[in-house]
Amino acid sequence: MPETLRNIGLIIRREYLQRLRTRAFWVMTFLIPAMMAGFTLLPSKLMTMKVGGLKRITVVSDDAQLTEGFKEQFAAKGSAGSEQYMVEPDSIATDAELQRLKTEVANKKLDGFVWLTKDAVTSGKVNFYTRSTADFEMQERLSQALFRAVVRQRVLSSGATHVDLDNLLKRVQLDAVPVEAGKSTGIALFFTTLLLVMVLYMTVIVHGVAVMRSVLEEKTSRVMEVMLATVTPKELMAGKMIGVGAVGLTQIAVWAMVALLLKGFAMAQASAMGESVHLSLTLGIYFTIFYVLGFMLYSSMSAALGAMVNSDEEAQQLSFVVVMPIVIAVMFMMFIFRAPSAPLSVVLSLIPFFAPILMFMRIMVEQPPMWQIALCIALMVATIYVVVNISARIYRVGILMYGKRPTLPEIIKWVKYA
Amino acid sequence: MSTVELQQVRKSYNRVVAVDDLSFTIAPGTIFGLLGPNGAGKTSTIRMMIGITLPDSGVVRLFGSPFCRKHLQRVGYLPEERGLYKKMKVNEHLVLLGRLHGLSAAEASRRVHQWCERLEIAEKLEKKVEELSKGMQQKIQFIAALLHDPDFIIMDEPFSGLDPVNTVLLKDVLLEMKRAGKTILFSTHQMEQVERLCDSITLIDGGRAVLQGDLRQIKSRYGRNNVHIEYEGNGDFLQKNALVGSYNNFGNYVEVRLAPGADAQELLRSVAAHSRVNKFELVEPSLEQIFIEVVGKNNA
Repeated sequence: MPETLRNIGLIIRREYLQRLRTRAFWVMTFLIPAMMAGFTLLPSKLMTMKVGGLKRITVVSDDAQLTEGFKEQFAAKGSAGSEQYMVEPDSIATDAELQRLKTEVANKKLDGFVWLTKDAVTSGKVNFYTRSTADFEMQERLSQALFRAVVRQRVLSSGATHVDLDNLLKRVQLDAVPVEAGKSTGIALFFTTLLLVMVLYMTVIVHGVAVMRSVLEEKTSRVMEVMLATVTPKELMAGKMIGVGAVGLTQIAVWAMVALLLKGFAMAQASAMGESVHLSLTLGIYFTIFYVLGFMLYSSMSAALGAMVNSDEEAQQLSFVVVMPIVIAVMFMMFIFRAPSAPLSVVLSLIPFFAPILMFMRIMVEQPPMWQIALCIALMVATIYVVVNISARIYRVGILMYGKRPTLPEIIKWVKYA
Repeated sequence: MSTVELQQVRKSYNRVVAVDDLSFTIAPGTIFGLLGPNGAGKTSTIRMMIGITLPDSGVVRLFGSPFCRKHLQRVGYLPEERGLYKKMKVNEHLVLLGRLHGLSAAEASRRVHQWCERLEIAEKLEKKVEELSKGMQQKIQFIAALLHDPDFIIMDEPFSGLDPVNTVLLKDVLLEMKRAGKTILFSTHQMEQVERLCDSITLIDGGRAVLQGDLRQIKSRYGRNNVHIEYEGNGDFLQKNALVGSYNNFGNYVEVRLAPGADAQELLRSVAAHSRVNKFELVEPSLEQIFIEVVGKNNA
């Protein structure tokens, strides 16, 4: 027993120090959060970013009053930060004019035109002709202006006069406020959750796959033979998993420290960031727990896979087995975010292979009942126990097998082999 | 008490029998040759001796008792498949292996320096393994096998890929180990390399022992019916000659094994009639010749 502990300790030490000394470790430590922040924040920033330049839009209508109302509303919707528009009226609502305007749009003399005839308004369907139908920002603004202009027109034509229309149509903002104190709200919560979950996801995947590569490297370099003359396969696998896992924990510790510094800095500046990005100690503990559990689960599978294969190509082909469940979990993220307490969410977040991502996400979005968290962790520990045992059996035989990749029946035989 | 004792050991992988009913003993302080062609089951046998795999049936005893992991502290193993962690420094790597064998960090470090001086690679201690040549890496593994001063040393193809200078260097170290009372097992298919070193051998083929015993006894059993001839001219005399049992012709040099009952003097006359003879020597058969003969007989 003391030898086992000594051996595992020495293997952990080797695995940990070797990795910490590489440049890759430090690059990853700073790249993962940066990349995840980029993936989650950048697209939404880009969507709302000003493209620049003046946009020319024509409003074609046989109703001068409606045109005027639309122009007014459209101008009113604009804010300082948004795009510059030039809206021109056009009262010739003929087919020839439609064709002419289409050509102008195609030739980029015009950015688009709204076909706002009386008939169109009555039918409730107004067309906006443009080159790119994907500019949601512009369409949203047009749609709002259109709606307000038409409502105004309808109210006036129904005979109501002296009505404070602007007041009637005044927007009401709906804000979701969590009942639990201290939780951040709305968009900030969404992005913080997304960011942390994605970082958790990347950390589990990166270090899980690192275990596979490390096993494979020992196999291909044949250092395995030397090691097995002194240590048992179980010691080697345990040492490797703990060593690589500890590297991930070190990474998390570095992130936690940076986050604390940033938060302290933001608080000192009394800026909004310190308030909106809510990172608590509890959250940090949950992050660590789910990293450790997720890593144990995925890295033990990964170790078995590494023992089965003989080359990088084979490893790549098989790595989907490890990555797939966690990718599926990520696919359910949006659903969980919308309905964290729905029965489906609860069930999904209890499935051990999804739990590291989904249960952590539920914890961030709303506080699930304590029994669910406890059950989730218990289920994970039980699954890890089973998976580690099966993996260790595959590992023990696989590390000495060179040549062709084993078939499934062969692997089952390895597992049964006492 | 034998250092190693195998009793009717059998091991198969997926219905392929790697080792079949193999028994042998290695006496303490001797050099033992485990010989055989590639795929004969040498490495499988060694793996069972050090507990990497377990025999399907039969018994492996080390130092007089059934195998247990504690024995490994007294065993040094140089595997045929050489491998080291490429990114580790030589010094670190050797200290790690020494510590895994139960040495303290300080003691391991002291011995690593001593050995590296001895094998003339002290200046490589701070280099990464991947920066070293194959031969250097082999020396490092050689050191790793001896670092903990084992009583039983297993060398699987120890000299393959080494230049003559280093081969002599390592061979001298091993002979010194023998004088110090260590037991050494050589496993190889290159028989001429170990034939002068071994006290006893086991020749295996297809997982089975085909020839076992004291090397000198084996050789004398096969007698002096081998002739080495250096000649000029054509080698026609070898064809259809009733005196020649089998031969291995190298052009101007031929190793002949006489047919049973044939007289060497008669062969000399028959050769001299056809070619110029520069050398004619009666010799003991080489291990390789014995092996070819035994295996050939078994396969026939």
